[in-house]
Amino acid sequence: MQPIEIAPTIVAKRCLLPVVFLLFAAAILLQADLVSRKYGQFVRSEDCPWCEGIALRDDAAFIPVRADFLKLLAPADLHFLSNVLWVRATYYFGSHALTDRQYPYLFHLLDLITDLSPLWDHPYYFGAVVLPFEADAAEDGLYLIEKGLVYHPDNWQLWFFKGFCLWKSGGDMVSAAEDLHRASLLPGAPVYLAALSATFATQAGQKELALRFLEEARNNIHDPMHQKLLADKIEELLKGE
Amino acid sequence: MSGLAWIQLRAIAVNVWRASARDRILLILWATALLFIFFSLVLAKMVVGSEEMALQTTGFWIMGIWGLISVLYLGSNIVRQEIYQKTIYFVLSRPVHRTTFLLGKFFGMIIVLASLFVILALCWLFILLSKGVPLNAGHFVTLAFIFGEWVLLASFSLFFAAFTSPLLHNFFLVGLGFLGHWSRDLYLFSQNAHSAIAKTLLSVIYHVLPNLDALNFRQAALYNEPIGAGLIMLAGGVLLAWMLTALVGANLIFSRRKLL
Repeated sequence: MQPIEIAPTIVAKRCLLPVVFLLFAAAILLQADLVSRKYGQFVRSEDCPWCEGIALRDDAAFIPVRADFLKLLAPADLHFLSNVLWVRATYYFGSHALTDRQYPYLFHLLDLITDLSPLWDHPYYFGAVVLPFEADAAEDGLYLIEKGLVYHPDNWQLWFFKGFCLWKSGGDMVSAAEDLHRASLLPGAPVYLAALSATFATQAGQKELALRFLEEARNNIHDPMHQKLLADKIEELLKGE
Repeated sequence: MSGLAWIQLRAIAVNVWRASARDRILLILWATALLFIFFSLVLAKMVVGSEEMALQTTGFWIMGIWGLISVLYLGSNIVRQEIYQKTIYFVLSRPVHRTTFLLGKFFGMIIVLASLFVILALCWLFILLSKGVPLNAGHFVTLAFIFGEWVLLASFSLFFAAFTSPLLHNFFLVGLGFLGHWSRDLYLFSQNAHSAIAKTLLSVIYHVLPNLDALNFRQAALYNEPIGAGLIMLAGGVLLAWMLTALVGANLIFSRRKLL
């Protein structure tokens, strides 16, 4: 009886291996068929190699969600969530920058990211540059800069972006000059900002303001070479009078 | 505690560790955690301009989530399985006190969790150092409190396991983990609720649950914010108090439980 019992086991073992391979191959083939039917033929776009299909399909994922709801997903790791959203935001910007150059959800994404991780400065810079000048949404850009300044009041870059945005989008030279001057007094700010704020104030017809800006900036810096540059600028302004 | 009780406790704890080391599901769980830690390198490349931050946040997220999953898996069967397989009678029919049995289980869980934590933390720190991410004291404080949270969850897991089924245990523990981190929002809701009943109810929930968000120092590590020694001591005290509460509660229930 023993050989009769063993024989079918050996046969079964020998047969099973090809069956497994066959099933595996069938699964791969069926899956390939399913993928091609479901998603169609993939056509790589030369203009936007990372774009897949119609951009609208991607955008459908951006249903407005508040940060409070997102917090439910990973309450201890809001910074991680903001990083994941940042990946999505940069992909979204990149794919639209290469195609239609329309960014209706970019502000919403950046607002969410900065809600989740308000101390992270990078999204503020990105929004400050991209929203007013690429997405044609100066008010959204200014809102994001103001939001950044609440958390980073001593960040000269954000004050600079605010001034630049006010000048470029609204033509408000006096406010722009004031913000640039404020940026110039903060640690790490380049010296040219003081001269730039004075130039803006002068162009707005506020020479007194320009002189005050330059005087304050000169008192604020200690490098003799930079002090001389500002002194020359003051002299130039006074001569102009 | 007598010398004999220490020996018994040690034997039970080591047994939990041995059983876990043979558990394939747990090993797979550990392997996926490690895989995710290394996956943070890929994610960091995608986070344009903030690679260093992504490496840190991903590591914190993995350690937070995997801790909860490990405690869920370990704790849901730690008492139930012993009763179900009737192995608990072999232990408790000998001169082993129920407190010793429970503490042995708890320390066994701690050894298992500590092993996983050390592996994950070392791999994460290695990645950070190899990528030139500057480490500060906040990183180590955060790591210590993430592990503290694991231990806290383990003690509550034992508390729930002492009187509920594995399914309910998991519900309670996940609820505790998430609500603990939503404490601040619960407080805000309680302050803004119009109904007096809702206000009272939310306020009670806020106060009776461990505030895990208060033990979360991830932001301090990310932005190099100083953490006062007093705050660390206080947080440590809170952690210890909750842990002891859960353990004593578990002991109270388990020592009165009819096992036959």
